[in-house]
Amino acid sequence: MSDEEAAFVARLQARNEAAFNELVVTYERRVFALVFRMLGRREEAEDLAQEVFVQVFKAIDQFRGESKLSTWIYRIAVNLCKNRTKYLSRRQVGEQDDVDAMADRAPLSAAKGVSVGAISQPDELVEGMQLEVIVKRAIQQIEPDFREVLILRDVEDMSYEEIAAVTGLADGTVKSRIHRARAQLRVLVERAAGEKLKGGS
Amino acid sequence: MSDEKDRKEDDLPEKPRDSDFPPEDDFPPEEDFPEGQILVDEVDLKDALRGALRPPPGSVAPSLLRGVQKKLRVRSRGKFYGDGWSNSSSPRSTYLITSAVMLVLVLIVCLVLLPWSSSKLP
Repeated sequence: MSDEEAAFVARLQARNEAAFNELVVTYERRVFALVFRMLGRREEAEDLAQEVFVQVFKAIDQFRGESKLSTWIYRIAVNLCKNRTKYLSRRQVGEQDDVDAMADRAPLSAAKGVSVGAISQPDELVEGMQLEVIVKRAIQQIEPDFREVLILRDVEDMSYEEIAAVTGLADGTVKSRIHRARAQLRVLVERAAGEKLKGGS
Repeated sequence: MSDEKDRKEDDLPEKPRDSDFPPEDDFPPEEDFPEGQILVDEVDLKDALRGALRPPPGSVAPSLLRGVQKKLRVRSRGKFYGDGWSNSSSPRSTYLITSAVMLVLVLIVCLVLLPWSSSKLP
């Protein structure tokens, strides 16, 4: 940890409100983006992202600078996402995810010049936006533990070491989960693409 | 060395349990797919994943600062981000002052309106 960051953390631990405002402004976009990707619901994501900072404020005394501050914040975010996901899955309110809603609004014809009637090759079907729509749905069906590491790796561009620090998993487990998450995603996407092909023909 | 490791562990919030890791056979059956029909390659899938999880065009990340400050003010009962009244730890004084001001206001209104009450209406 640099001297500058150490001084900043000391101000946070002294419950300096100006320092905490600075922290929120610095990390809010990244935390919100991560939480939104994990949950897929904007309202929930906004509330949970706020909760992340509340937890940071409460627990900042426990931060001893052994890891980067950003890693520590991400870890809190990931843990809260897992808890919220479990809670939401228990509630099963039947609400439509924002991600799912976006997928529904995106018409098939929005694919890059590809319409259902015109699909003749699988390659065309899975092009561009069409593929993204399928992936949006597929990613929500993946096991939460797998989704978490896949997002951290392929979307947030974190290294394996960073993911291990954020999730608290061993490096080997992280690699294994990413591999299995990709396999799971591929299967789901190919299945959905196959169904669309059948439906279109 | 182990103490140092322990401290490092303590530094971070609780670890998730590895026991939640699903068994290998939880995967969707791959035999559902025709052999050799590879629809999506690795790069396509990664790009699509990034695209799929990108915020919609024109959407702006919300400013979280006000919401965070409000939550901290409420939960700390005004100790942090206090505004001096909404979560004051002893709001009795606020109520007393407000009551006194209202009483004075009512008295003034009565004094102003009293002379009119005895006169006839036009």
